[in-house]
Amino acid sequence: MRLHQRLALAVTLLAIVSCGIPSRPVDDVFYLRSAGADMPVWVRGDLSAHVVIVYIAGGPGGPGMIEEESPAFRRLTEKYVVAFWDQRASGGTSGGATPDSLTLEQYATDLDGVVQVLAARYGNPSIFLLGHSWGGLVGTAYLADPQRQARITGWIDVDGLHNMSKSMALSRQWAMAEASARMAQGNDVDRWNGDLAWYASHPVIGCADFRHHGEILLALEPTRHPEKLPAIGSLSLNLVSPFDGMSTLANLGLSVGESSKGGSALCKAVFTDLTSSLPNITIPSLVIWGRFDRGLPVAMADEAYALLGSPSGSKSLVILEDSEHMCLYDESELFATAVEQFVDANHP
Amino acid sequence: MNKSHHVAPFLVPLIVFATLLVPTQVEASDLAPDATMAQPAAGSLRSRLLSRTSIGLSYFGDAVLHPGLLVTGEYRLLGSGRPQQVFVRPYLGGYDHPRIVHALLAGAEVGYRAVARFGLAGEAAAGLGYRHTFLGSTIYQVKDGQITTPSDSGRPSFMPSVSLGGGWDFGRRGGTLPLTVMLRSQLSWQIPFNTDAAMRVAALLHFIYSF
Repeated sequence: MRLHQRLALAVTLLAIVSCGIPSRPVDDVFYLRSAGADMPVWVRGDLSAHVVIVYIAGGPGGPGMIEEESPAFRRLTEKYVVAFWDQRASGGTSGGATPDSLTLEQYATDLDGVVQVLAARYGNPSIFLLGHSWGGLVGTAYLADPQRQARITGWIDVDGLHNMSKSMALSRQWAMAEASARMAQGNDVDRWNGDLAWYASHPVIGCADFRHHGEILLALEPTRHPEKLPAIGSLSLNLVSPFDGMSTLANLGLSVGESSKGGSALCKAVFTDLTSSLPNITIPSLVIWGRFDRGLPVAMADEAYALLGSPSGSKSLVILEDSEHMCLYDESELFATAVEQFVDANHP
Repeated sequence: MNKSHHVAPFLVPLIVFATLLVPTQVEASDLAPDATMAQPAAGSLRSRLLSRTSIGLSYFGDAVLHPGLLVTGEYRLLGSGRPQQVFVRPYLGGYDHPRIVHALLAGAEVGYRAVARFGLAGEAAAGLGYRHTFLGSTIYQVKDGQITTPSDSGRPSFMPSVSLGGGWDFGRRGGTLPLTVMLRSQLSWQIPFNTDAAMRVAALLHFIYSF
């Protein structure tokens, strides 16, 4: 064998040894048609680990696909496949789903469709659910059904909702204490006095109060890392990807309108208390939370972690200390590391 | 609103027909004459029609880069060959947002164009159209654990639009090429979109050939 042939053989062997399993890049889009909605799912990443993470976006109304550009998910798609699902009345979903179809059970049924299609399309991979905020409620509602839970390898709850009434009560309590402290310091006394008067007249934060309460929270504690947050106007997403910014805006209007309307199906969904369902979730679970989440305070993370039915060795809690509600952006590297460690430890 | 959508497409041919009956002198009194321009042809109906007509081809970029094509006609209701024109422009075409949606478009716009002596042109138009969208990837439906792939007959919607454009008329200032190139931006609506409406933006590179 000549020298250059030996060299070629050596390089080939080295490549095989160093690469291990060859990569299997995936970049697909499919639609799920369910109860009047045509929901796009962008499936992107590397299938060589045979793991698919289904991202359940927050909101309601937050687009799933926008996260494809987030540093955390960019890192995760180097190793696993992530399914960015645009839920009904969000992102690029079309089809004419009516406001009364925006029930929690319908969202969970839609998610089940996404999971089943992913399983069939990609050869029964290990499927993990990752739900952020409202996505935590959808994921919990889904996993409350044992038959559905059996399809899932692990559950990742990121600043997720399971009891909106309690979350809002804690959030309101923090805001009032903080406003009182500012007044005691003599800062903006009139402003905080006005906010305290508003809270006095709103002992319970309901759907119609989200916006005003959110404005007060932001005034008390401005966004920690605004430069890291996703941009709906991202040129690369809007110009050369499956993301549909204009549909996203239209759907956002619909979802925000419905979720802030007292008595609407979506408002009822948001306030569904799933605390009693948490012990029924027995698959491996990871709870990740931003220390400074003022909307869904970190006490809710402790509650979720304590109540999840996963055996103590297969559930974990990670608090990101420089993060708020959007912790996957605030500390993307730590977030991605936590998810990677959890997935690697739990998929067969 | 629905009523106007039904009525408007029928008005367009009526307006076009009516303008054929209007004598050329009315245009001259309505709009300032341009000495550098050829006068509208008098004579047969056919030659009068041709002198007011253009055809066009346009790149239609939904969200700028989702590619599409429009074939357009143009009939100048007023001011044909003059610095200020009022026109009606039927169009037919479509675009593709890869993997997300394919759309077919048909409709008509009414617009105003001003052309400077040296060729610079600007226009504004408003239109009503029809948009039919088809999903751009495989559709799955799951029922009782069975996964099926239903066909897609698409979804109809109304498409009101407004557009602004600027460009160059190469037939001006002694030019012999009867071609106008316009870069246009269009704002349109998709009604219904889900249970409401969605706004769409598009960029068009429009080549207009005048007879």
